[in-house]
Amino acid sequence: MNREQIMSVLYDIALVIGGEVSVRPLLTKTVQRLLYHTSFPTGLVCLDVPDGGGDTIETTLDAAVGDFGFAGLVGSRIELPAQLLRGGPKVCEAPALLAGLSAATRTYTVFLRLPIDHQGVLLLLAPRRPSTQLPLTEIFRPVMANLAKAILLCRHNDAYTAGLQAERDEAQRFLAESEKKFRSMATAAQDAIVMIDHEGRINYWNPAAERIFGYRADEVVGHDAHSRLAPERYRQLFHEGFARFTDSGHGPLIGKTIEIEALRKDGREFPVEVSISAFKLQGRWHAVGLLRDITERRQAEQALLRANRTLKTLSGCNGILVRATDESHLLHDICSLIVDTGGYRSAWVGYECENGKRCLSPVASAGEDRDFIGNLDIDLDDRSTAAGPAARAFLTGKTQLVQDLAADDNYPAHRNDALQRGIAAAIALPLLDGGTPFGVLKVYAEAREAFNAEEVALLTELSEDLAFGIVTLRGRRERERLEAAEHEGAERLKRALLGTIQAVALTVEKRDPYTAGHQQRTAQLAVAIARELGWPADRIEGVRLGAMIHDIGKVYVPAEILNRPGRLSELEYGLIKAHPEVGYEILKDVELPWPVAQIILQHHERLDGSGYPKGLADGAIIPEARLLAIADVVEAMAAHRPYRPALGLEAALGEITRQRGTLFDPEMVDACLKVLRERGFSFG
Amino acid sequence: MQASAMEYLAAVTASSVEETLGRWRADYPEMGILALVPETEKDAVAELQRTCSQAGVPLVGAVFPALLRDGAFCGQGAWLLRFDQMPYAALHPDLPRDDGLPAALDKVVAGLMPHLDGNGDVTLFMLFDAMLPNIGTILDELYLRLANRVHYMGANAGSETFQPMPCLFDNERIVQNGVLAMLLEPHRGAILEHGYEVPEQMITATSTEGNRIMQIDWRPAFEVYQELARAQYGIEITRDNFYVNAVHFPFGIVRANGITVVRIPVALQEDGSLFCVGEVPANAVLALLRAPAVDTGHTLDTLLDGLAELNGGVAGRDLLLFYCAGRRLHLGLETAAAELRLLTDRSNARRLCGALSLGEIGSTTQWGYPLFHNATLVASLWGEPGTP
Repeated sequence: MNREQIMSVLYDIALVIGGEVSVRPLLTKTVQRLLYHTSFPTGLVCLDVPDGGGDTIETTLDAAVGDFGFAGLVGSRIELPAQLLRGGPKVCEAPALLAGLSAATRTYTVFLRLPIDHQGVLLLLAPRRPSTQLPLTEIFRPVMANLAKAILLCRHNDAYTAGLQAERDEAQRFLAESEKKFRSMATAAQDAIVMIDHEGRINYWNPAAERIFGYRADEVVGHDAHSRLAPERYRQLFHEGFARFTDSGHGPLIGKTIEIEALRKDGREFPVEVSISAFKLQGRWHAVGLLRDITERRQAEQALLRANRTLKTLSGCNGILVRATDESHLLHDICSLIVDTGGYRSAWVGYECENGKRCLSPVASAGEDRDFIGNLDIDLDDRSTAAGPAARAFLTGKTQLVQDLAADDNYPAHRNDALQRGIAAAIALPLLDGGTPFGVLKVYAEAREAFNAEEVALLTELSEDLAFGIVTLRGRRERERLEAAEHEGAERLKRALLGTIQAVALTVEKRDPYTAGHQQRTAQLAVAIARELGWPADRIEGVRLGAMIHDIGKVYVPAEILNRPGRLSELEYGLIKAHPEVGYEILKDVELPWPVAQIILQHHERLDGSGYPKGLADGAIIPEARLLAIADVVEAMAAHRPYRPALGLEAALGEITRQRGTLFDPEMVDACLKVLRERGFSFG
Repeated sequence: MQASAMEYLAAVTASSVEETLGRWRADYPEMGILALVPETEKDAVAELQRTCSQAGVPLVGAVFPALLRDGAFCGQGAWLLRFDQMPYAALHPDLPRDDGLPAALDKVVAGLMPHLDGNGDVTLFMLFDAMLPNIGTILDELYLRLANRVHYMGANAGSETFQPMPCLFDNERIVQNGVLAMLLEPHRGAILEHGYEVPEQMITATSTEGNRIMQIDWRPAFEVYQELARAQYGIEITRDNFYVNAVHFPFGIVRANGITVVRIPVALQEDGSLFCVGEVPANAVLALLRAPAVDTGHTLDTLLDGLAELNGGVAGRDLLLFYCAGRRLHLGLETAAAELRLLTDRSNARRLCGALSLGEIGSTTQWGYPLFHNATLVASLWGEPGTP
């Protein structure tokens, strides 16, 4: 072979070595090319052959081609003769040495050893020496040098690739785990999870979605989401919004939670709570939606809302009842409350007609249907109208409920009118007085099944309260009428009595001309003192009345004693001193709102107990009597008496001032002095 | 001495086939047939399939440009080669030419492995469709998987026009772009030799793809070829006369042991690239075998010595031979036929049977690395149980 030909062989092997990036194929293909060129049938490579003495060396077999015994041990530790592994490039016939290769599946007699610089050794084995004119141990030196460098680079690359692979494996494991978690979550989720691709097609549909919407995954995946899941009226809007979404990832629903109607497979609509998020996949916007069936929640909310409304209605009803003073206003206010607060379409109250006909006639109403209600004529003897709920409620005394007006064939003739107006349900509640119906409360609603059990119970309570309110109002009116009449009689009696008393007092004064006007003047002063003391008007009235007739007991004193000038005998004086008790006896059984009899009895008692008839002292004497005692003394001393000339006002005031605190109440004395000296009081 | 396991049928008819099968089945009830059919008789494959199937005889075979019959080339009839007991044989059509190849070969090997216990001599006998562009790679991959569990031998079938043609068959199918793999046991392999002299001038195939050479020394390959033909023979090489001229300018892949692996360019592609039977390594440095001298004596000596070494002599025995079509064209029909006659005479074989092939597989020594060649003779004994 010439140099050019040798170069072509080396070039060929160098190309193979340079073309590999991983150790295992590098070694395998290099060995293959060497076998190809040398006619050795078998090649082995051991890298990183350990140092050490001994006949054999345990090392790793890194490549083996051509002998399936060795090929099966690639990657394993094997024992090879040290003579085979150690040393420089060499072709050697060594049948004895090679006979010891336990892994060999054929008999070898020749080996070609090619050390790979510091990386290891490459061995070619053959049953007999292949013919060649070339110094194989020499021509492959540069190739082996190249191979050593390539092994180094490939090892780096393998390590790098292994690192990348480990990262990729980890990432894939993580991804797989995430995927598994997501699948588990999505499978176990109670809410529907629906993913939509950039063309609006469903590409994920979890089991909850199957349950909620009724579609199996294979029935919807790949189909347009909006056409399948959204009611017709929303679709145009959704498609417009989705077009914007695919461009920008934004949309009116993205990132929000809304409540909306969705469409089941069977075509029924139902409320869902939807949360939609956007995410980018392979540069395109996708959407994921969490959808929760809120049918039950919506029903509960509606029920709660209605219950609240009904409770508010009931509460408002109680307020109206408490404040009610007029039945007509009461009925109107209740009907307005049912409509305004209760949220019902309309309401009316009807009473039995007063024209002798057996019929029900609306007497109050509220809401949209006043003209309709106003024209209602419910003849209780007419089968066509008596079959209606209002009539039935009145006739039976029991609540009548019509949840679906359209389906109630017993409804009277005006049912069609009601339906056309939008009335869909109604309830009629009897107004009872002691179990006897006297009217009906009727409520209309726009929705079928509008009255649930709770509402019926509350409306029943409302109607009972209304009935009680009406009955109570009517009872109160009657009581007030009776009380007014009674009060008027009492007043009349009182006025007659006072007139009588005054007439008696005048009679007394006529019998005693010297004291004529004494009682009136005393009353004037007593009233002035009482006012000065700040007494209430009603009490002052009692004082005034008592003063007006305080000497009524003198009616039993003979006129000649009363009119006789000069001193009286002891007996005569005794007769006069009896007049408080006589006066008391006259008035004690007359029912008056003031202690007039006691005033008369005690007006001659004194604080120190020196008075008469009982000799009462201090607190035992009622204030009105203590006050009257002062006014009586002042007026008597200031005025002329048959048995003496007038002493004068100053003398009178001097007397009470002297007796202040002993005979007379000091505070009242002070008030009297103030009235007469400071207030400019004068007897009229 | 056993009767020959080779039967030449001058005419492939139902009766001729039935007669042969009937005769053989009496002694070999579990026999099978390997049929070698010349391209001109390819329509006879159907008759073979029908008759063998009716007789319940397993059949495999291939279509070649021509047959070899007792020291001559032959375009008619068919060779029936008897397996005394039908061995493992599998037809694998449409082998991938891309990354799918390793998996396909795993499947091929998976079929073979249960029949290989690692003991005794077994030969993996492969007949390829010559149009496969990656036979060299396939051999490398098979050697990695099977190593020395088997000896390797084979040949390429197909048309010498190098037009795609279903050329591999069994009882039911006739397929292309694949391999017919058979396990011969006991069998000690084949000997391969071409005797082309080692060239002096080296060129570089600067652009190759599988079995196509686009550039030589960084120039369009066809341009280089035209210059060579002009200089050597004073003829103008064209698309039409390309094959008959190019056989005189084959490429050689030089090996370190001094033996050249020949690659004969057989067709000119539309894009000016040269189509070879057998792979050319990418960026390979090739030897250009300018009108190579062929040492027939050395070739035959090598073959016969090798066979003798393997089998203890071929005299009186049946010899299976594949003779490269390109070699025949290069040598000329007369010289090639003479070479064939010489081999027949020198071998003293009882019967020499074979086919003109479009590529050969084997090794120059026993247990050698399996190589894909052009321009060679591949010889092997056939059908003798207990062959040493």
